[in-house]
Amino acid sequence: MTGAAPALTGKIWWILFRNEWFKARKRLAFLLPLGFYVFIAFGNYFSSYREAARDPERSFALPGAWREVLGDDMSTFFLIFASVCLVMLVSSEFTWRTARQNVIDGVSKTQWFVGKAMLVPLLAVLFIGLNIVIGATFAALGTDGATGPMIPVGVWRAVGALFLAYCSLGGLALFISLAVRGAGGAMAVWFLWIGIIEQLIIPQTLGRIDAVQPLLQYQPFVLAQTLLGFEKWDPATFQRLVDAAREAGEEIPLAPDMTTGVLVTAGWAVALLVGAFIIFRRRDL
Amino acid sequence: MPVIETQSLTKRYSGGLRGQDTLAVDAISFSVEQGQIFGFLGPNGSGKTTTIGMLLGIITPTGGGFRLFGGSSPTEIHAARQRIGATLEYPNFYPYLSCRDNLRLVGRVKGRDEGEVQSVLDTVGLASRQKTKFKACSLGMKQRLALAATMLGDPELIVLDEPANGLDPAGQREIREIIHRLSDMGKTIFLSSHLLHEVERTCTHVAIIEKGRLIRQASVGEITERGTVVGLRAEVDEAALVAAVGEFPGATGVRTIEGRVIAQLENDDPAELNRFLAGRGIHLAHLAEERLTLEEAFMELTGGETGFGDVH
Repeated sequence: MTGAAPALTGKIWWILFRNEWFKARKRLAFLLPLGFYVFIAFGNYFSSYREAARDPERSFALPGAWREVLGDDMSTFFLIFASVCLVMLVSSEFTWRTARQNVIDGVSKTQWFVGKAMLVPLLAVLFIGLNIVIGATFAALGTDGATGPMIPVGVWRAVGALFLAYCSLGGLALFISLAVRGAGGAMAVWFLWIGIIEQLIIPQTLGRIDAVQPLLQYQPFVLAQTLLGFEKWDPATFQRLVDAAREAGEEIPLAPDMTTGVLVTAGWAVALLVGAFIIFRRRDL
Repeated sequence: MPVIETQSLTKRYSGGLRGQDTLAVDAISFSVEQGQIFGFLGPNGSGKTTTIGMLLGIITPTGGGFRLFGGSSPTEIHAARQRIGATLEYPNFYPYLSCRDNLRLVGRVKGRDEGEVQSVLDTVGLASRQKTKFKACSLGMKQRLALAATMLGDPELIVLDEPANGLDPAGQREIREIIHRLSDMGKTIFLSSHLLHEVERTCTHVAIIEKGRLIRQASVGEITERGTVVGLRAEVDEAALVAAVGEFPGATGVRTIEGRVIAQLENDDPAELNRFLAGRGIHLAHLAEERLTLEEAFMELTGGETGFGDVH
């Protein structure tokens, strides 16, 4: 084979993408969380399908089933499992010193970073895709003749929001992985961040300052969770919720304003990815 | 045009808020010409790996600079690195992947196909173990795999950091043979090692560093060249022989190694020493010209204990 080295041409991006996917699909630390996620999704939707089959009052069919498929529970699982995978795939490159060897082999530090950053959309597409395929398959089995499009516009919006939420949390996972440079430590810091720092430490310290209090909702993990929920992205589903609340005489929910949340989440994603790049570039391998 | 050329290359590690800075590499300048087998020698912690790390782009210099294949700008250096095959310190591969899969990843980055991966596996004798996971490999296999990875892409410059580390004598010999084969193919080899006898057998040129500073760069012949060195044995005790040699005006150094007395002469006339000793009633049973080994030269240059003691 002759010609310019791939690292000097645009071909390197495709090669890095292929290499990252090759390494991931052979890695038990990636396959286990992915398998567990698939198992949860399978169990969840199978259970919904069975309950709908037994109880005529319940329904698990498209398009109504999107509310469950793209709902809070599976979306939160996705954010956590995909972030765990990302931390495992990135941070162990430092434990094994393969990050330095990749650079020695001719990949520039920038190219190496972009290769890792490409894992964020890759994992998002993989996890979201698997969830949708499994959920939609069970839901399609139980289609109840409902009218309207099977894939309403809200599906695309909800998937987009989920993708954006993961860009932010994936950015955080990447940042921590590149800062800590060890699988165990990075994993511990990541869980500490989403479980303790954002939920307890920051609210109990900075949160006591009146000027800071309103900003707590914009912490990466807290904010990412506010983007989850199919009804926030599908007007028809939201209207059904309003009608149901009215019928039941309950408080009528207000239409959520998602614009600020989307913008700040996008800001977090960019800031964390840029921060991760700077911290990686500045340090020796 | 030198393949590698450093100019006052420096690396200083910051000691943080309270610590003291560490000068790992102190303004070293050396050059490696095309086709040389260049040995980079120094005691542990002397700055060898840091220097190589700077050349390979994984450590950022804090002073000075370097050229690779004549290029010094970031773009030129990135391009030049595509012409280098290197391994640093330990063989670094993905432990859960097989030898072959690890090489496939490197091969893709270097734009090489499966055929070449197989070819380098054959060259280093790993073809029959190519499906073995890296974590299950012996140290010798890991070293061979690292060598195979450096050979992928037909690089013009091969940088090897302690390639014979942990290998048995047969393994060391194999590595030596592979290095010579690569050299015969016109490759430039940059070899860092603390196994001085290996370097002496393998390298054409050496640079010696200690505490981050370059002490000497020359051909192996020049480094080991230091006047005439003769080994002596006589039927008197060693101390008497050493004392007598010490009085010889042409001797610049004398010491004992394993029951032999080694004398260093400033001219090329061992016969003169023989006559001098005979005149003092010491009749030699053995007198033979010897060459300074690289190890002896290294110890002398770095202030090691086996260096010649001055007698005048």
